[in-house]
Amino acid sequence: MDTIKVFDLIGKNAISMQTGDKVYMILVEKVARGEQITLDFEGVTLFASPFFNSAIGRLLKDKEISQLQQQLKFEHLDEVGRNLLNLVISNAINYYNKG
Amino acid sequence: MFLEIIKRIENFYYYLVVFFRNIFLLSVTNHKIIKIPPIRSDDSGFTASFKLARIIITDPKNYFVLDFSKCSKLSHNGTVLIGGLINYIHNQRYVAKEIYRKKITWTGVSILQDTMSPLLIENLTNNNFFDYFQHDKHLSPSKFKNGYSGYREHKSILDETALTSYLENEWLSNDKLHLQSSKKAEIISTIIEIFMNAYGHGVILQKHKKLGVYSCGEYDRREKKLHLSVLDFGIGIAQNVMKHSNIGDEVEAMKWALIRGNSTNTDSQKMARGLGLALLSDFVKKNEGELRIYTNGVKSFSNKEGSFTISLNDYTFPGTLVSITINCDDRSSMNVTESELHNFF
Repeated sequence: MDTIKVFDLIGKNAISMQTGDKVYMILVEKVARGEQITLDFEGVTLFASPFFNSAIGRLLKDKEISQLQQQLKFEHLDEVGRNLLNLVISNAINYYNKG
Repeated sequence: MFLEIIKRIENFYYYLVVFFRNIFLLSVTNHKIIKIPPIRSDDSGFTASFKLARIIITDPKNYFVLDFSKCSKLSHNGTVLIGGLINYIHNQRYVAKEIYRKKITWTGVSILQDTMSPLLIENLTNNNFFDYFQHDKHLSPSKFKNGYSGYREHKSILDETALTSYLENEWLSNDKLHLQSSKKAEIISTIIEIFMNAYGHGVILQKHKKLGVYSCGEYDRREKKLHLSVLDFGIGIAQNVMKHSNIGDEVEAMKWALIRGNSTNTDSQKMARGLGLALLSDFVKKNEGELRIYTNGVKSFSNKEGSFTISLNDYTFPGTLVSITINCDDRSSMNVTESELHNFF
């Protein structure tokens, strides 16, 4: 399983679409190839919805949530970040009519 | 010693020049005297602040003199609006003919400091307003960089590091406000959503490209409440929705914007979004706080029940002001309960 250290990519702030895009660009190819990926958020302390919209929500355009659940693993994501991630995914499922 | 004397002479000379320039400006040029009312963080205060904004925005190419003799209180909402408006005036483009016709030397703002009460001066000093608009000079936005905790101007392009550093280490630093780290992280994340909204839907769509985002925070130690107002001069939420939809009414447009998942996708990147305002509303409900959004001709108020009351504002405003009140005591759990979430991960 490949591990992506999110802090090394974007630093401690996971808040904007631009930083989310950096993570998405790495993820999208790996997800398309069916790889299993761990996103390690150690050191990332601040979260906002634009980041997760851009980094994770967009993946649901081409993938079912069940597939993402099999392929992605989130580590060291605090409660604020995890709640936000789940809200963003719920919103993205509705947006792409996959609910 | 010698350098000290030179410095004092320089200072004296500078203040003398400023003094005579101000006398000259106020005596030979036309100017518009604006009497600043008391602006509290309540309905009447917000109404008063937008009435004031309306006077300036309908004719911004002018020389304004701000008279504070009637202003006994200037809360975060009033401070941020006055700061933003001064920048708005300074960023007006005009042609010489307009200036000649109005018989003014240039557009700008001057504050009559001697009309301020000592308490107001102390307030505006402590919240760093005077770091930007020095009260003993002809006013122009300055470039001071030290010690922000109240009023702050943010650049037109989002600097994430500067913003989060300000929120974490200055405005909500542990010496000012002691919070559990998880609670602090949630409060900061919530506040960031306000800024993301201002940058995502406001600044990138504004007419005056040099204008940024303006904020003013206050902490009420007695009530243990945080107040924050964030202002931008973008197209406005209601007008932006109307531009990208068939909705022809600002109140209806605002209702649409507040529905979770609704977004105009104004920056051309098509993706699911539209959570920011809903997240703010959820937070205010759990925290038993308050959220006010004033944009274009609409005002929206969300209280602890979590539902928005949306109505026409008495005065239209070309931009958006979001004000939030956050309870910092332990009265409520601010975390989203599991039953409300799909636990995908």
